Amino acid sequence: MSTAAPTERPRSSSVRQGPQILRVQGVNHWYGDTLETRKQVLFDNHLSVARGEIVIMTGPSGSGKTTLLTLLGALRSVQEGEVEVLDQKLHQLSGKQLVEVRRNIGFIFQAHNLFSSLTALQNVRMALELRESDRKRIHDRAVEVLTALGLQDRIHYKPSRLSGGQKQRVAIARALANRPKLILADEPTAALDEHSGRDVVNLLKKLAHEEGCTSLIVTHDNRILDVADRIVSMADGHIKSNVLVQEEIEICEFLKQCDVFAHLTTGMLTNIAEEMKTESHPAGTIIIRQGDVGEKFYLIKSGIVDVIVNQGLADEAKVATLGKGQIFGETALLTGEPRNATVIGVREVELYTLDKPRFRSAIAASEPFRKELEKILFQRQ
Amino acid sequence: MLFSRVNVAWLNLAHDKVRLVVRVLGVAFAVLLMFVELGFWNALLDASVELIQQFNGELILVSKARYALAIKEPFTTRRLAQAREVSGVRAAYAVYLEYVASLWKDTGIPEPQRSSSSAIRVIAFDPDEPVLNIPEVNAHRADLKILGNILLDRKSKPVYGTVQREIDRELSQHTVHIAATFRLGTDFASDGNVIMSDVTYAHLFPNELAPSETLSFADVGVLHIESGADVETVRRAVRRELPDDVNVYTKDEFLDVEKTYWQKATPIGFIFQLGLFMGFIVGAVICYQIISTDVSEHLPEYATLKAIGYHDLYLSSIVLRESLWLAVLGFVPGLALSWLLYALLDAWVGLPMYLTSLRILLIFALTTVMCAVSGLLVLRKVKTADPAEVFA
Repeated sequence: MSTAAPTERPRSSSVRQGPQILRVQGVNHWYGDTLETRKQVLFDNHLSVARGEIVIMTGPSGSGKTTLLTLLGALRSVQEGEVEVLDQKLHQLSGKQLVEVRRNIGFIFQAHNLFSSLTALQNVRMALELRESDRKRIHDRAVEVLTALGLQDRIHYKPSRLSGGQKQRVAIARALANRPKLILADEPTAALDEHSGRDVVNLLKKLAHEEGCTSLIVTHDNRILDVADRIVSMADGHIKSNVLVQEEIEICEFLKQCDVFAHLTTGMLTNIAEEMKTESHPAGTIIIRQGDVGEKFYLIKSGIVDVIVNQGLADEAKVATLGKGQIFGETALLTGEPRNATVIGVREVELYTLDKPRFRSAIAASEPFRKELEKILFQRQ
Repeated sequence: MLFSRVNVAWLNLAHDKVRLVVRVLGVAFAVLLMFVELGFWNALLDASVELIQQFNGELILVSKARYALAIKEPFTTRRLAQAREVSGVRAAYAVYLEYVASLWKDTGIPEPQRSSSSAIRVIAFDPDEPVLNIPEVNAHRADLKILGNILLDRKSKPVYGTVQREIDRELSQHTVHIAATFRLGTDFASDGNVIMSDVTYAHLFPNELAPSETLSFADVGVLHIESGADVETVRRAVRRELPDDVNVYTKDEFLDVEKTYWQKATPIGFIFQLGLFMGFIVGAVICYQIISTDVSEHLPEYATLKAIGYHDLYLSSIVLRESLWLAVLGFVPGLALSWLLYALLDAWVGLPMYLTSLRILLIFALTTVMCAVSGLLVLRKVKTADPAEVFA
């Protein structure tokens, strides 16, 4: 039996099923030309996004979200690291080729950037003319997409005669006109009231479901967080946290069902969930060995493990079989004693793990919880 | 229009009507400036050939050695007799000119205050022949038959004194009588004009060696061809028949020869070319300002176009088309204003300001180049539109 050599990865790179639409690996970026003025703004960023995901990117201003967004949008040349968007390796493309990549991306800008001399219709047609040459089709599609955004009565208006929300909707229509596979949006709802903002995100959601359109939205608007499949938060040029919302909820629900964590607040649970990493093991792997020093806490994402206690020389007894949503490995971390049992994967298992210092600090954060936990452990004995 | 491509260049320009008018007037001003410079330049050149213009004939005969009208190089009048024999030639007139010996004294002013006498151009011909196309002159040809009678150009410089009919003045130490006046104009070589009969001319300016032969040597021969005859054919025929001590020019050719001479002999060409160039530069600066302001104002929008996938080339084409639109839109009112100004200058100052189609074409070409050049200069600015800035 092989000992645990887990393929461990941070959960920030956890990946949803389906083809990747966007992949960022080891991306660093600097501003400034000379050595003295050069300032690093992005530090070792990793991100993977699957087709149809809606990603919300948050973080304080100056945290590098916009820079990352411009790199993803092929608006800037990659300096270091790899960026793959829509099957194009942007870090290998020339400036001209980057322009071509942009044609397949729908951009929604905070400052809507509409041509003030063009009508709503003409603004949308500018985007369509890049890809389509049939003028009748261009016209029809422009009208169609403006109508879908509720602007059918405003198609011949210039931006100066449109309200902020209407302008933003024209800009969105322009971004969606070519049915892009990827939408990059910078504060798309900032200029909108709650109702219109909701309409916009619902539209993005609909596109994700119906056309597999991926959206990456930089926003501070927490009213729209609920549409996110993934929430990425950045600080100081680094992706600080990258959470698949659904997975996060899953982990929290699992943890909550466990006695150990049943009394934690939701905030504390999500903190734990965010700190967790994933690892997977083939069937037969010894995940922890009795007598070893405890280093990690485990939550089973999928698969089955056997818990075996060795009480004498040859007296091995299977004491439990654990499955999806169940935890193990907490005792050694809490007591500081060696592992009291061996855990073997029966089938291929996927595990969420939390290392000892993080586990302990999570526990220590709550004095009542600590007492509670000690009581539970006491009852177990 | 509904299904054509979005014409961003035009829509950008036409977006704000007031500004469009201001911009078009800006370019029109530059066009006007160039027209005025070109107008003055040509006016002075045109003035220098005004006499040739007025010759009543299609072909001009001058001595082979004569490279400008003002250079005394006469030829024998036998050539004119020979020319008359050539088929297609209806008449050949001898014209006598005097630029130097013809000293004019304004005897209307008492001796002490009178400035020293100055030379005046004398144009002489047989008063029986309609040598000039000036109606005033032709009306008074009969008066010239009286020895000592002259016609004086009203546009002669003030140094010649009052231009008035029926008074006596002194020319080349002879008393002459101003029978009438006419209008021709001054040029580089002459500050005034006097017309007299060939007989009076021979009397005033006899050939020192052979006074009786004075009229046997003409300065210019004016050939009037049969109506319906082809100028070029007749010219070749005359050329064939005449010895090559004379040159046979069509009137246009001779105008060119004369203009080219003055352009080279005087700084006038340079001065007004410089003026024209300045007009061009001023126009280019105005154009550059207009287009560059427009681009600066639309920079975020241009950056957006780049962001959504437009190449620099497309943006460049927008800017260039905008500048060409400006050229066309500015040229039309510029031409109209120039036409008005030309008419006014001609009426007030008496400068011959002609708007020929060639000159209109020249200025249009300059305007187009001017706008295109400014457009090209602005292109650098468009290239600075950073698509990454749209996410700022």
